[in-house]
Amino acid sequence: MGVEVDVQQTFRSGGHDFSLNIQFSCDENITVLFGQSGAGKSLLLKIIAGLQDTQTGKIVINGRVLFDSSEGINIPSRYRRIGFLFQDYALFPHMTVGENIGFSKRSIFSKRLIEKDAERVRELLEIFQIKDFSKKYPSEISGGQRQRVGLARALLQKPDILLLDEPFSALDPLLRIQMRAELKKIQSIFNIPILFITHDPQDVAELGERLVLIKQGLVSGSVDLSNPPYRDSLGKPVRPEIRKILLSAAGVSSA
Amino acid sequence: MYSFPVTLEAVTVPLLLSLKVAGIATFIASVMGISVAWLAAKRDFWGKEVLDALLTLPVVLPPTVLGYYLLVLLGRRGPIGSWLETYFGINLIFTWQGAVIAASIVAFPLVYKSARSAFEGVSRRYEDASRVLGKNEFQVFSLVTFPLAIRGILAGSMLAFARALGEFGATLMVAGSLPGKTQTLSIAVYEAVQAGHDQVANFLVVVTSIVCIVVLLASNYFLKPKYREA
Repeated sequence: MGVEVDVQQTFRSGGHDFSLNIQFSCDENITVLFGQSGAGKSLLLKIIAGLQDTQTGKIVINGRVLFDSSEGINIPSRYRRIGFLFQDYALFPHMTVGENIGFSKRSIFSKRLIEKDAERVRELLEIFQIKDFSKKYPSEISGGQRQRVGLARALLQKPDILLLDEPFSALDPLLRIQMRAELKKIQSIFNIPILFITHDPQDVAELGERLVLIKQGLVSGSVDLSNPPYRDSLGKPVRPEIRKILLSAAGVSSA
Repeated sequence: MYSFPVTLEAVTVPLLLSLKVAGIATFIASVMGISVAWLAAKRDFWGKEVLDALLTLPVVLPPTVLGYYLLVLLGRRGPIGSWLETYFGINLIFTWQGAVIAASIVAFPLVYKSARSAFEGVSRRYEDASRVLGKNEFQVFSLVTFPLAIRGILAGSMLAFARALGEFGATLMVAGSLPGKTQTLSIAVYEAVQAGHDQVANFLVVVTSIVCIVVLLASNYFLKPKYREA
């Protein structure tokens, strides 16, 4: 188990160069990539998923090489076995909730699934408590429900890892608290490593077991949050400590 | 003013010919327009915008100029015409197939432009989502890109059909006006007026107008979005 990422890529947009040079490895259940907007976090996730080209580097997930420029390995997105939750979930607007979840297993000719896959869709609808909405379209359900659909859809094909792009940013604060708890539960039910990006310190404090700090396309720190002193004896995160790290990472001297 | 008796055939023959020519032309223009539009919307290649301008040219060029180009290309001594003649014994000038080619070219930009903007309107997020969900590029197109763009494409095809139905200038130059053979609805109207057959002309004009209005109503229907983005 584990994630090894080492990528270099220079982007040019509007006369400006932006360089991404990221190395980190982790084998925790939940790893948080934290950084300001424009630090290159989203780009990094797309590179890991194979949705964005990379010049040089290596990406290994659970021992499986997805990309290695020195060996000429570049597995296409569709074979990477990655569950990806987009920032606004990117649910297909022309398909119902049930069809969205079953998408990875359907053929181009029919939306009907073979019985084994249909059974798994029903299971996921049950686990995510969205059974009642399976015939509805994404525009007809709430933000929290959409997120559940997005997660269920990503989990159907039994991916090796879940990548989440700012999963809670589109939700209101109250719902955020609930969905964080759900995400934790999902992680343990499916026993799947999660790598997610955020710029909300609260996400780091409540979910992170490994914190990777990203600043202007570079890794500026990697912190193990699973051991003390970042958690108290009850396993509850000690927020002030994390706050200190995040502030210093952001270049603010901590008081 | 004396009235000329309207025979049923004076209307049905050009009408059916027009529907046949416009139908086939719309099909050809749609297949080609959708393919090129997908390339232009989703892929980057050198000279893309120049190609776009060239492909849109039939909208702005006078139909007679277009017809002249086609005559030069497809005529017996033209590069395409002589090749078709020597190897296949085919002559397209003054045939209904020639009219189909003229109508296809005139109708093409309408499908192409609508399909291109419809494809560009399909967010890359949806396509990326289906890629990570294990779909190859053909599956991405047929399950996501095309269904999300279909209404814009259909609206374009409807307009193309209406345009092909009304085609006059280029068709006249390439296919002429042979009654029952290449005399389409719009050309028949012209001939009827020229010959003073006002009743025939009236009838043809009313029929053409109704067909075009129906097509435009259908096109408007398709342009209304069916799904809301979530």
